[in-house]
Amino acid sequence: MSATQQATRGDTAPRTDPIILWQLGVGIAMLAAWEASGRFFGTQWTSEPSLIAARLAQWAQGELYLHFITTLTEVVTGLCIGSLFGILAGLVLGRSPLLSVILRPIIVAFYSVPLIALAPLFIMFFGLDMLPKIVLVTIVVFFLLFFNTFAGATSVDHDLIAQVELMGSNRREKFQKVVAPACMAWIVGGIKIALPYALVAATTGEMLAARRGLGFLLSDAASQFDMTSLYAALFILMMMGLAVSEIAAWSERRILRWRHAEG
Amino acid sequence: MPRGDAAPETQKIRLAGVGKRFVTRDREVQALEPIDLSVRPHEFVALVGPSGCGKSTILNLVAGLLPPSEGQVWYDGAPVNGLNRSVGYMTQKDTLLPWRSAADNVRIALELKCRAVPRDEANARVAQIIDLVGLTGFERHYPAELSGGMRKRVGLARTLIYQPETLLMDEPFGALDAQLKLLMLNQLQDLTRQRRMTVLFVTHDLGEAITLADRVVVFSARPGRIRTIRDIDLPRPRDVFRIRFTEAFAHLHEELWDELKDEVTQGTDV
Amino acid sequence: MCDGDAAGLDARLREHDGGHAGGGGAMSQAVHIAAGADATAAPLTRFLQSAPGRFAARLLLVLVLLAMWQVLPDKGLRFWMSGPVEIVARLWSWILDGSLWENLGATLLAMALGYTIGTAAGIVLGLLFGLLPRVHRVLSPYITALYAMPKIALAPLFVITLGIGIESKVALVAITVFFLVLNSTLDGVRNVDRDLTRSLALMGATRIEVISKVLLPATLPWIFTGMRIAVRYAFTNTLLAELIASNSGIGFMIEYYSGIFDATGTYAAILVLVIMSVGLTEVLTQIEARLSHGRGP
Repeated sequence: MSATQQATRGDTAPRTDPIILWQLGVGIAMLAAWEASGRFFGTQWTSEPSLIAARLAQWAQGELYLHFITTLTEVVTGLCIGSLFGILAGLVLGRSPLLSVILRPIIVAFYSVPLIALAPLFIMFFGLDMLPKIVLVTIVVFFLLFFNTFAGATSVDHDLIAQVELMGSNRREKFQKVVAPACMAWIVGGIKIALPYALVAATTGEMLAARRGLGFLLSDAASQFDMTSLYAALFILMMMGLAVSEIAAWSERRILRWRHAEG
Repeated sequence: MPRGDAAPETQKIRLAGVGKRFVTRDREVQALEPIDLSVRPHEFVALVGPSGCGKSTILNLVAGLLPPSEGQVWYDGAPVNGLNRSVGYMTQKDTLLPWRSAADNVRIALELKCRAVPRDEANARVAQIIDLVGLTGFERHYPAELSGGMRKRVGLARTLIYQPETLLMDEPFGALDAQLKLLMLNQLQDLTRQRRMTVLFVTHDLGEAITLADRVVVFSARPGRIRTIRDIDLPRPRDVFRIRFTEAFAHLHEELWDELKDEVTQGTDV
Repeated sequence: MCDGDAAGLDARLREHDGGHAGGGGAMSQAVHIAAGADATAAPLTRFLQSAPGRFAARLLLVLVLLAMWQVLPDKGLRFWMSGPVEIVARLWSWILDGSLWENLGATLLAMALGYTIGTAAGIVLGLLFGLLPRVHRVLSPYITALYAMPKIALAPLFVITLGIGIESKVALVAITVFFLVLNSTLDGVRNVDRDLTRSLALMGATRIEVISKVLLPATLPWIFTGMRIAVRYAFTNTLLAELIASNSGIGFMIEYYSGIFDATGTYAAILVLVIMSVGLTEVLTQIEARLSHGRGP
């Protein structure tokens, strides 16, 4: 957690800080060095920032849109379905001690397995289009949310529940006022982990077998040894990754204000 | 037989031969020997004794959070089976909801269906009680942002706001500094008398017990047994700031401390 | 807390498993009621909560599922789902012809190499940035951007530049581990008490002494946390690299058999993956327990 948190929080220096100039300067210097090495040694392996920018601009005319929407659809659809069912399953199982006790080894086993590695199975079942990726994203997200919600639901402080019960809460109020908000931290934490995983799952699926999507763009470029397209696709994925982790961090800060309230 | 065993219906709380054993990993621990104890309506009873003598267990039994291993707990002449919702319970550990601000924590009882209150009235009552416990200005702070003493006061406000007819309090002022503690004791005395509450008050501070209580029950070290029950016949209302300097107080304190000190030295710690 | 770490979850579940005996605070005794462990519970519930009852219930559940899988009636479904007996038979044949060990070894070797390289680089660079905070601040937006990129997207690049052998796998694993360890090392460095380093410098300590006496020991717990989390990431990324382009490894087997629509082979390879994963989690849990045992009072 510390690692992800650190990355997503970033190091936002104050605006007036001269450090920004340094940061820009280093960035420009790195790009310039890259460009120079391309001019000097040829662009076969490393391409060139100017070529990559031109390729991005060319893609932006139309082609990119389709791939981007494809990946986004896979991620968002899988995320919605997976988290919905994951949260429900986690709450149900987490609040029924008997079931959770019996299913423990099975849950742990599922948690151990890197589920994205099952991508080929779904491709075998569902073919080349969006369906196998959506299934993959859904399953990955489902389990992440399930584990987190489950952990949250089993760790709700019994004293808090007892306190609210003594005040005369009914079952619904107990859930609404204590169990659900107590699990919220875990659910948000789960979504925060699940977002980048969803992107990885969709991209992996597309790299393995697809006709559209950013992962396809990447593997297609690689198969043609088109380094410019490869770097351009990488750039887009990097931006998507950045956006995803920023969204995750931002929503966590919003929803879990009380947790960051210390100090 | 102990004094409180006259006609059961005149008792608010009655413990008849109530004992409690806990089963830990490999053995049984007798937390509370079977005891008899009664509390009259509107009475303030303080339970003192060394730690681990089962004082907190008694509160849990009266609240119905635990079933007794033997005997029967009665409340208002009816047996307590399951949660007893006539009581307000302020536990040793503050059970504030960490995702709610101080004011929202206090408000929660007024949100529940069984005693729902219109929003404006709820706001007014919350503001009033927050002021009473001296937390004005901290309404919007989350529990994590409050000190231990402040959290205790939020807990107190939350317990008082819905005016339960009986208060169970487990060392509510342990974490407060001496000054603030006296202020809180004063507030508690006023409120409980004003609203004619019945109070069962667990403390390890004998002075606190004598200051507030109509009766002080001294427990022996584990397994808990009642060692003495002493009526505190100091006149009401009591001046919590000065009463500890009166002679009557000193006598009571000395007498009860004699009872208590053997037990304390036997017990693990104070 | 929620760092996708199976050992932690397992510990939590085990706690759940053992019932709630003990318990600290005043009210927590109430748990006995909540857990339904009191004498009024139905005999079946009580049996299921006992250790043999739990075991029996789990065994029964697994056996029923396996039996249902084995007797699938439909021919078409059979083609896609294979059956437990066939899968185990296939696994056995891999054990006999040695292909299992070959691929298992390839996966573990790539994972271990990548993990070692990534960890070493992450620690060194993390400490270096800790000593040169200005340099770190200048570079941090670029590190953040690279960290946020799905690392698996680098696989095609590595395959082009390094081929489909072990090198590209190692590179992908190393870079993933590198960023995780780098970030947790930096977290640790940031948590080092400035007064401590300053007072040591005032005593006349050299840079090297400041590092070895304060920075490194104080950062160590953070480094270990990063290393622990990185194990699972290393494992996942080894497999993903093998899926995308490789000629050996368990991931390669999954991809290969699914590519030729051999369901039995695919499931057998997945079974190996599951066994490996559970084994890895078990090992991590053991190490964790060992370490926390040593640290405890």
